[in-house]
Amino acid sequence: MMKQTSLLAILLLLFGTILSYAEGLEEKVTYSLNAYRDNSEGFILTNKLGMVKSIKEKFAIGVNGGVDAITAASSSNKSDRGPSEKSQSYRSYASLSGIYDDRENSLILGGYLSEENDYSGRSLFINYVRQLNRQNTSLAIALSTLSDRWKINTLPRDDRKGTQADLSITQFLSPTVQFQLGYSNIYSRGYLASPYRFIEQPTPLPLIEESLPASRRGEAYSLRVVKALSGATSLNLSYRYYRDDWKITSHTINTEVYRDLRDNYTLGGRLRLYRQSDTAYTKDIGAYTGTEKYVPIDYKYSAFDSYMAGVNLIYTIERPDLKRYVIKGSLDYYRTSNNDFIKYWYHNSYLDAVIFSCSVDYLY
Amino acid sequence: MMNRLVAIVLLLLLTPACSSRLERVKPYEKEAFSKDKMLLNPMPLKVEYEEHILSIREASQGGGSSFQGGCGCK
Repeated sequence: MMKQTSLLAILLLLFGTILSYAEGLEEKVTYSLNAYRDNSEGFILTNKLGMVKSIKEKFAIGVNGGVDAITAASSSNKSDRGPSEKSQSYRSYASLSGIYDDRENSLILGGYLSEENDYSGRSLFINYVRQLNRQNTSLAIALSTLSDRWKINTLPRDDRKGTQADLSITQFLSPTVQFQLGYSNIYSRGYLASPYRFIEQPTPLPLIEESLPASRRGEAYSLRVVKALSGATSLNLSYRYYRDDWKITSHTINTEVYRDLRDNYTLGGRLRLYRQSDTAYTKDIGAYTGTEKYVPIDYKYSAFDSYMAGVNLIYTIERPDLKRYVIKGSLDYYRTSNNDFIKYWYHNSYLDAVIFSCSVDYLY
Repeated sequence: MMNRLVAIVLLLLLTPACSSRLERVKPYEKEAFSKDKMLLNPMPLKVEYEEHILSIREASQGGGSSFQGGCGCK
């Protein structure tokens, strides 16, 4: 815990130092608090602090950092692991990015690192946006590369590498409608299974460890449309189709409706529906014998549906000196369909969760 | 899949340059889009957190708007 406190202290000091000599374009400081709790004793509490500050005309820097406190219903110790075990861990992370923006071109270059008790992550990312047709069309390309590592010496391989490319085109169709088409290509390789997943067999047979292919490539296609239904009401619709070479396919639909209650209050409601197939290697939970080449055990590699419903609130405080606070809050309920893998691991027929999020942007 | 990626990049680069019909909204007509509720992502920090949680709970990835770093819970 000392490490995480120290990280936050360093970030706060860094923000203060940068604020003291910077000036320029739209700048902001953001704090967010998020919480997740589910019916399997899973709990994640996240504190995050971020800042964008211009350091010269057209140039800015972004700094982000945060700490997750994670309670999970599985042990991090192989010698006493088990579905009913409860573990506590922390994850701290920070990113630094350089930003260039001349209103026609926007470029972000950055790096990210994270540390957990048993895992470390390193990433580099680049994001370029080009405005065309008098800012009616924008093209975006984002590339990121991951180099992660498990800190468990007994694993056959302890690395995870990955690359992701995201492409999108956004177009204004009318004064009240815009849409975005997106494509993502994601590649991962290395030790992709979880060292904490297993299936017990009758004594004296050994545990069956989770085992997954050493690489995975997936693609996602997405469409998002935003339409003003009236001056006070807007509709935000999105659809995503995903598929990968493990033969998982999924469909995701998200609908959000926002309505201005006053000039500075906006209330929103949302509904998200999700359906996925299983991998080509997934069997019924009781059908594994230990002789299979691949043994997916996490329920997310099986077929299931889920839905999420919630409310969003946006509140803006305008000050006479043009400085603004934007407060955004949300509360969502998430639930999966009944699933035998969930029942085996979490002793519940399904997973349900409440997700809370609150953020404050200070724009100065 | 790499061929498809290259084809999509070329399509994205060439399509907008081919048509002036894509210049459909004048700057002074964009007032509606100045409100948060008209953004493609009105709640970016919430979505970033939610995408992280859902990447643990669901097998699908991508199609989102935010960068997600490495995590041992995935």
